[in-house]
Amino acid sequence: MSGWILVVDDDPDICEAIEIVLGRHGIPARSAGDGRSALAILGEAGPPAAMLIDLHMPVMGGAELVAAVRRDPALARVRLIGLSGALDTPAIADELSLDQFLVKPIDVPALLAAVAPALGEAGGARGR
Amino acid sequence: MSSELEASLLRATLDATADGILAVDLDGHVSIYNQRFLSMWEIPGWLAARQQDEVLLDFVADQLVDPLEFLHGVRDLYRSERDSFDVLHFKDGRVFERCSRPQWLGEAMVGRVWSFHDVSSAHRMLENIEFLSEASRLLVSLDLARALEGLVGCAVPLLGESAAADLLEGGVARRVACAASGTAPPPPLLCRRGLTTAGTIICHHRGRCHLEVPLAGHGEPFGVLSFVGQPGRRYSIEDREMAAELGRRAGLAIQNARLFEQAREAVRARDEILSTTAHEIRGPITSIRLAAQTLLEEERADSPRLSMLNLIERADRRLARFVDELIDVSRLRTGVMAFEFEKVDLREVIREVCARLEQDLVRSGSPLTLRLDGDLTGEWDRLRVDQIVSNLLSNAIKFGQGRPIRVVALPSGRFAKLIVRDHGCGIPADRLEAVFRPFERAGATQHLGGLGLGLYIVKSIVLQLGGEVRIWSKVGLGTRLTVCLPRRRRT
Repeated sequence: MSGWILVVDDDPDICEAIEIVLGRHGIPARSAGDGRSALAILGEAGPPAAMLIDLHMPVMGGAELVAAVRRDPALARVRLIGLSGALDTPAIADELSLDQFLVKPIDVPALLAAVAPALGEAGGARGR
Repeated sequence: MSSELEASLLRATLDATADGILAVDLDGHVSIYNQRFLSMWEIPGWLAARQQDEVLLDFVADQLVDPLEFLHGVRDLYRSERDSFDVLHFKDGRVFERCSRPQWLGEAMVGRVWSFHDVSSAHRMLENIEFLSEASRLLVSLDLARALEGLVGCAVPLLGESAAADLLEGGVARRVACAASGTAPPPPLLCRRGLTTAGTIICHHRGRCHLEVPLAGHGEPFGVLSFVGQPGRRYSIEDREMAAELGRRAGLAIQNARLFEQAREAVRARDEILSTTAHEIRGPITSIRLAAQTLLEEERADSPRLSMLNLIERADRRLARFVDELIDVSRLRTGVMAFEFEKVDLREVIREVCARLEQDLVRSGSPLTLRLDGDLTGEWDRLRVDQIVSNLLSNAIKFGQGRPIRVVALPSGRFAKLIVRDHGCGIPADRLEAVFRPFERAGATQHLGGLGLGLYIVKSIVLQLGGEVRIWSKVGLGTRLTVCLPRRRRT
């Protein structure tokens, strides 16, 4: 599966909504409820084009997941997009090596614009 | 003048002066002294009558803090021809200024005249003032334990040989700070009975004088400052007053530090609740928005469901804005608002906001005219500029009563100027200032939704960007808001 998106958020409604939106625009997507499940999916399915990661999650938080993905050379080209609705996250996001950070609520155009660079560059280098 | 008259004049002069006077010849024979000299040095008359300087020196030397240094100093002066001025410190706290000069007979030095001036009370007062100001300086610190440690430290030896600060916490006395000179025993832990009385307590314990003052702010005492006097020391009224003053200042400082801590804790708790609330609300808002937008994309223009989906999206945006305002006001109140500067085209932002609010405009019935002149790029935070334009335009729509709205943007020197003008109900002159305060609304009688934070937030953002906001309004004629933003970032 190439050119797919992994959504990681502990809110299943958001995961479902994003999966539907992306699906309707022809972008395959899968979702995980926490960082650990996300890593399990990555291990099984290989690198996605991009990941949308909520920075406030239980079990394994967004920051830890970002660090884990960045440590893995196999995932070097994955575009990482942080998501959060909490007050302090813009500051936290600055310290993480994210490609982009979106404040919730996000809308359809913003979502499509965020993942577009990853899908446009088929196998190409990530612009950071 | 007869020699009898001269002697009488000398005697009268000596007895009239407030200083102690002593004259000694080169053989160590005391030629003259006055009563004040005897009383200052506590010398009995019979001893003075022997008129031998060595005897007097032996008698007084022990009163001084450093007897040997004193005796050496005196002997050196007898051998020299110079004048002298110095300060003598006594073991019991007295302080004398001492002057001396040689006595000459023609060309020959025949002796030395000494005068002593008691400056103990001035010295003590100065010491007390210095001590209290040092104590006040220490107490400004919000680190309570360190402040009290410093405070009791500088109270020794001024107020005793040892000093301690004890606080009552949950009915249990706790020693917060203690200081002692040498091997002096510390004061016993919170010995004040019940802590109910105000004022100082003096008691005697194992041959020492103990002094205790309450620590209290604006209410019941919550602790004690205690001091143990040096052997033989009796606390004077002055000592008590100073200790009481110290207790008052420390009490208020402790109370202030506690209130500050509570306030900080409350702010922290509020921010945590706000952050959690924001996160929890923004999640469902996101799901609703994505779902509504997806359905809208597929709806035909004439579908009866279109207006319902639009309504859902509008309601969703209102909720989102409500959360944003809540967070902004918390940040503004605590003074933390971060800006991300980038090159922003104001015309672009205005067009985006107008497009976003188009549905609201159509529903309000207000026709909108835009005039965007010249180069309107600047170094700003895009989201914050968007917020300024959105808030101003939303207000115009809300209060515009369906009459025309005009948005003008133009360059003006170093600034970009934005004017939003409605022809709605207007604001009474006496309410004009209030619209910039949080939770205020000019037309307060109607319920119009939102928190009434729009203009407060606009003003706060504009001020932090180094710009200004002006308002003009007349009841029945409408309102004009003018925002000037410097196009270059302040450094």
